[in-house]
Amino acid sequence: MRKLLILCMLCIAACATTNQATLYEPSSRNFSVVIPEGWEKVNMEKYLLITKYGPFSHYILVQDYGIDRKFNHTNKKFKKSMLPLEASEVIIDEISTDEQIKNFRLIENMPVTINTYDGFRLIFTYNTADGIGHKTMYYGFVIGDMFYSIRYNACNEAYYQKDVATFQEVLNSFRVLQARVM
Amino acid sequence: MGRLGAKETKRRIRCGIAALFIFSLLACVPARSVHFTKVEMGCEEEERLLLQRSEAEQRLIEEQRSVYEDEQLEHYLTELARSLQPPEVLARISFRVTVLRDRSADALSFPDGRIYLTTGMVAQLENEAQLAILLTHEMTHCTHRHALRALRHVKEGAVRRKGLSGAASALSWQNALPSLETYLDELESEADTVALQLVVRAGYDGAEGGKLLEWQQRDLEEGDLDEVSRVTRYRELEKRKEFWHKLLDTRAEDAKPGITGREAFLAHTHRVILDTACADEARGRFTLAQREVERYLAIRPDDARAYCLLGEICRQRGLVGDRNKAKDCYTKAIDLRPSFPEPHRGIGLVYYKEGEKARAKNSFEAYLIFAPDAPDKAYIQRYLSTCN
Repeated sequence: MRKLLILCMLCIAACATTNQATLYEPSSRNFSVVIPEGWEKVNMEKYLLITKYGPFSHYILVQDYGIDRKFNHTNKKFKKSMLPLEASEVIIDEISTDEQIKNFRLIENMPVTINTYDGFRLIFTYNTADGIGHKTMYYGFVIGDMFYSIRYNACNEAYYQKDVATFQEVLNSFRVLQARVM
Repeated sequence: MGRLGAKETKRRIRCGIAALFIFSLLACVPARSVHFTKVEMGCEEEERLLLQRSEAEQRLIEEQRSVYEDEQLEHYLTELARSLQPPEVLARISFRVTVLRDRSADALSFPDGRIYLTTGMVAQLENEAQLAILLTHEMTHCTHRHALRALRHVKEGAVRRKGLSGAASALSWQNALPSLETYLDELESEADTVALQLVVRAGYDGAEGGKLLEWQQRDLEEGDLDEVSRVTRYRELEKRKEFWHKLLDTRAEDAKPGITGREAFLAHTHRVILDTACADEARGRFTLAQREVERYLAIRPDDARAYCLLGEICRQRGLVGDRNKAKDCYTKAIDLRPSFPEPHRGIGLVYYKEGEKARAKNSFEAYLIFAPDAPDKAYIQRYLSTCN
């Protein structure tokens, strides 16, 4: 998380503001998503990060990566045959074992359908080492050899509530590009 | 022991802290042109500063790292440490052992006799003999004033360099004194030598020191270190192991078999072992976690939680044979405590993935009976709906 915020800070100068909703569908990614009007895309190679008020206040992060990817804090890995419940537990372990994350509290872990795929939704809160509280809504699912995640993070409840509806729009616009599914 | 950290990065940070600690003291202590290798009498000022700084460091450690709350365990460790020292040492230093909640295996001591062990370190030990070796090693850092001697070593180097400049100074420093790291290694060897004498005198098996170092090498495989750090750490442990075996070879009286005290050790440390196994399972260090649970089960063979945890380890690891082993463990946990919800869930998930829908249904239903407000209730209900 901390690393992510530092990267955000470094890349903030490279932000591209969208005056109207735009479709994000780069050839390097396995997904497409609509970036809402007024949100800025922070240029990141490995994932899509968008924000309206700056990544320290809130952001939406969309990722796709191979299931064999090594996590930073747990040695657990996704498996093709994993049930959504099992995949959600890998993510919970990855976040809760991060030593920079304090007071991790899981509020909800629910099965959901994301763009026709069975997945999970986590809602959790935590504090970073500097004491700042965060709230995250995290959607994820495994298809074939790939894991997809779409998460919304805000530094406090007020910011969280402010754009949670916009996040749902982004989530609804999320599409896996079938042609590239491995 | 002094530098038995499982994480190379943490070890380096510790070395950095030690160096900072020493250099910050240098800034406080008036320099005198002294040349000695043994600690002189009359260095009260340096010791006073060391003790002051120790207290500050300990406050920082306890603020930043969570203390493992277990009074009985702390009492056991402290009493064991004290029992290994002669009365004249105890009259001078009041040893106290505190356990920190930290998965990495680490131990450190302060000049005032305060010793910190991490939960990861305690869980890595096999018996009381190994614990005694670890404690005596750490206590030797206090009794033999290693912090003060390291400080003096740095100061002496600084004094020798004074008056020389540039390359001459650097060469002089290199040639005149071993580096701080080499000197610290010498102190570690001294701590091992004294530790062996003390534990053998107390009746423990000195050979356990070599085994402890071997366990640590083995546990590196599932640690957090990158490849280069792991190899470096492995070699360091190998060097220490060789030194330990050499000690045993050259001191025939210390090589006699002694007690290991496995039962006494496990009786006092079983809780921390199971907690560490849980932490290792969450981190996906399945081999370590399995070893810890099995050690726990050796002393508490009727604990349903431990069998359930072993089931979770096998289910998630997913190696050949793990699925059946997971089912056996969950079944054993259910036999021991039928109303314990988690093993019903675990075995239900295994059956569900095997396509054994009727068995999965029974297990999921049992799970929801015993845990009607389970946080994953919605998933289980969804899976149940496909079992009909």
